[in-house]
Amino acid sequence: MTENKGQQFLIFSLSSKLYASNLRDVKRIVPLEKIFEVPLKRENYLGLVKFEGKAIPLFNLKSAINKGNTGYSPEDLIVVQYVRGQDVGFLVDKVDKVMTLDPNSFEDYESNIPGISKKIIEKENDIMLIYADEIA
Amino acid sequence: MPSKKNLILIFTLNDCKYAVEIAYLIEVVEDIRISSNSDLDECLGLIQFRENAIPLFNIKSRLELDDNVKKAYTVVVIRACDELIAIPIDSVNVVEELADSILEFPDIILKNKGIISYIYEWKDEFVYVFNLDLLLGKVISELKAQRQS
Repeated sequence: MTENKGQQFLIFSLSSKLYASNLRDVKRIVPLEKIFEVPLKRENYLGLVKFEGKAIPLFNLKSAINKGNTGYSPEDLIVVQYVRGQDVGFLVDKVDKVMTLDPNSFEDYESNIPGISKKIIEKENDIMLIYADEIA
Repeated sequence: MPSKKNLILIFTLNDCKYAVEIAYLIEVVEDIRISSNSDLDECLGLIQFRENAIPLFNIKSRLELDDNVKKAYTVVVIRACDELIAIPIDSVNVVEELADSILEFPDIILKNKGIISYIYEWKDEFVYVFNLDLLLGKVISELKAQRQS
C-alpha cells in the first residue's frame, strides 16, 4: 500500500489570486452576515460576527494582503479558523475547491506579509499558503 | 429584586452601545460644563460634582472614536478604585438586568486588551461592558499620585 503524503487544503480567492489554508485548521465556511463594530480594533480587523452563538473577530484578509484595499461585499464568505486558541473569521471573495497537495511541494515565497511565505504552482497558477496564526 | 451586581447601564457613544455595571455607578448628570483644566493625560478637564472637582475622562479619544468639542456634556459618574470619575456619553439608553445573553469578548481583536469585560446582546446589538479598572487605569494612577504628592 502506498503512503499518501498529501494533505487537504482549502483553496480560495482574494482579488482574483488564489490562496490555500490547511483544511485541518478550517472549522467552517459561512456567509457574511451582520458585522458588529468594535472600538480600538487592531489593523485589518473589521469587527465581530456571530458564529455558533459566540462573538468572533472578523479579519479582512484582502486588506492585509493588498494594503489599502479594505472593500468587501455581501457576497463574500467567512472562513472560520482556529487561531491561538480561539475562532477567527477570515473574509474571502470566493471558495474555490478542496485540493490534496503535498506540503513538501510548497516552495519558499518572498513576501512582506506575515503568514505568507510559501507558494505552490498548480496548473500555471500561483497558490499562496496562508498561515492563519501568523497573519491574524 | 435584582442585585446591583446584575444590572448594567447601557449608553451610546457614536454608533455603538457600551455599558457599565451599576455597582460602579454613582449618578448620571446632564448638562455638565467643564469648570477648569486638568493636567491629567486622558482628561478633557474637571467638572463640579457634589462640591468636588472630578476629572472628565476623554473616553472617545481613549477608544479612538471621532468627537466634537461640546459646551455641555451628559456624564456617567462612576467610582472605580475609590476614585470618582465622570465619563461623557452621547445618550443613556436603559438599565438592563443581565439575562443569559452574555457573550465572551474576543480580546484578540483589541489593541488594548482587557478594557471590555464581556458583551451583552441587546435588541440585536452588541453592548460592550467596560472593565472600568482597566479602562481608567492610567487616570486612576495619576489621581492617586497627585494625592500623594
